[in-house]
Amino acid sequence: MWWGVSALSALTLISSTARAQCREDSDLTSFRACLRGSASSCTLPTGTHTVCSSVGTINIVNSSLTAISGGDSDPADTVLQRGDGSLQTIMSLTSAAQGLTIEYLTLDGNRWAFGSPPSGGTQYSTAPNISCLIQSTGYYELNLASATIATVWYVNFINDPVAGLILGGSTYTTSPPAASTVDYSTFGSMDDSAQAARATAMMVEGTHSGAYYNHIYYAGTAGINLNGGNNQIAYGNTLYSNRYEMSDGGQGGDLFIAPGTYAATVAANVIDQNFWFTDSSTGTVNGCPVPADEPQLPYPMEIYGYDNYFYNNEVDAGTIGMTLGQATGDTYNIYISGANPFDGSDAPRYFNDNSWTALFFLGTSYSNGVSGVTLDQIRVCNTGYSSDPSTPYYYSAPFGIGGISFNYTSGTGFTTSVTFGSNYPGNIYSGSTYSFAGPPSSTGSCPSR
Amino acid sequence: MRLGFWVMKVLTLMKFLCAILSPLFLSLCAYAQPALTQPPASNGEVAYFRFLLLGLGHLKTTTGIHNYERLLAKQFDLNPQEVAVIDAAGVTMRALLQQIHTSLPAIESGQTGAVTVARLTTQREQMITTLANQILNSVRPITAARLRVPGHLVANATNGGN
Repeated sequence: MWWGVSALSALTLISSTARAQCREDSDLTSFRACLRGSASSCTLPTGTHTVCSSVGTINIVNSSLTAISGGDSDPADTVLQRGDGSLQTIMSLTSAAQGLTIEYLTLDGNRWAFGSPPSGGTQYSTAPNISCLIQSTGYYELNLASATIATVWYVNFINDPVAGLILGGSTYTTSPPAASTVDYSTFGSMDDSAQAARATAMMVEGTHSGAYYNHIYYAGTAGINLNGGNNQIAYGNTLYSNRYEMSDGGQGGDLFIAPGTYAATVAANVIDQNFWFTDSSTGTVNGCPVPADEPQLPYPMEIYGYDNYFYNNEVDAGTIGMTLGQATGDTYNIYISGANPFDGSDAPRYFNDNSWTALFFLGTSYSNGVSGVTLDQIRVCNTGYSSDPSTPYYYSAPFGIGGISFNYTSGTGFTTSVTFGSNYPGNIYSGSTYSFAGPPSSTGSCPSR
Repeated sequence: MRLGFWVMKVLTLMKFLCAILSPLFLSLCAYAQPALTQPPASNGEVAYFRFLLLGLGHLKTTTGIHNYERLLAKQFDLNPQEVAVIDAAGVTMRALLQQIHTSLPAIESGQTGAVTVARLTTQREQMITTLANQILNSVRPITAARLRVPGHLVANATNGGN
């Protein structure tokens, strides 16, 4: 017994000492100095570099910087790792940099290193235990909210206690065309859901900002949040099983377009919800509490805003593929197409395997519905079924929750305009609160996958 | 006709083996490749393949690799043969990344020099370019065209992209 207590005390002491001794290496010290200086580029050597709250967030002060790079061209080789749970943000832009590129880095939020998830499964942790923070806690790995034009590419974000990246972009240029973008970056890991962000993987703000060809896995809330800007682009991204922990307390969208966002383009993305849901039997996810009182059924896409365009996205394995105007009334002038005007050779993509309906135009009341919708050549497969036990189907078929539901039907060739007032609880075939210019076609075939 | 069939079979087998063994038999494999029909990948196109191959090469679980390739198939409408080509490239990439991963601690602790990291980085970049061109020449022309698109789109969209 004495030995047990003694060993436990020793371990506690070692642990406390380890936390108290967060020390930064000389390479990181030099790197910090570079970011404060006047150099045009700063490079951090390969290796894992601990970032300590006693020194603080790594601030990018030098507004003339054009490149911040890891030590070689593989982002996995150069890691900035949170050194203690009191550090809220690993790296932040404090100047209005324009033309800055951040590349070849891994930002490791080190979420699991400073305390276990709450044992009861009903309480969120509080810092410095950052294992299961609530979504609103202000932890980011890379905060570029004040960027004018910045590029983030080949950056990995892992173990984020809340969010990975916030990307601003207060301006853009047309010659040459340039705006803030995040490209070729990976959020979380396809190998391990515990390496994902506890909440949103990336928030894209500003004007003309874009997210191109990123991979986002198992984020706790949205994988991509186009957050209130205009003319933003999400193109070619792969999102898998996001809204995994649902740290905001309920279901929602893997790709989220926030109310007020306008003129966004969402094209050529692959969004696979992986049939993920939680209910009262789930208990915890990654050790963290999830909403327990009712089934929570995330959607591949949750859309608000106006004058927004959707081209040839793969929208798979949710209950509802794409929900529009669910909670607010500003969702109008929406164009959804199976064509891709940016790439005529693009692969055909589908609304596939969504167990309730492909598209759910919801609105909040009969007078506050989604309006001005155009559907063009969308492809809908294997949707609205009820018999597959592997999918979260809780209600008797036909569910008919409104909007548009193509039961086992391919909508290829369906080119029409649809204007919905509010369509709850009808659907496109039987409701009376919609009008559209022409009937859908039932021709076309579904891929075998 | 029948001879042509067997020639194709042998070439396919050699391509597969080369994709797996290319770190060791790169020069030999160069002779085994059929005449190239695709132009070499541009710098911008290689930039996308770097992302694709590093992402695939760093995966360690069978499930992770399977899901990665399954979603890639949805992105580019790959057929099973094309998925196999990319999977083989991933195997090659994984082996090299493991070798680099093993070497990096010694480099960082000063036991070996910066020359070593430069050599390994160069080797990795050469491998990415080689695999990119192997993939482009092993998939259908329409797929090759689609795999080139990301590089162009990102180069056009980014500030500072190549």
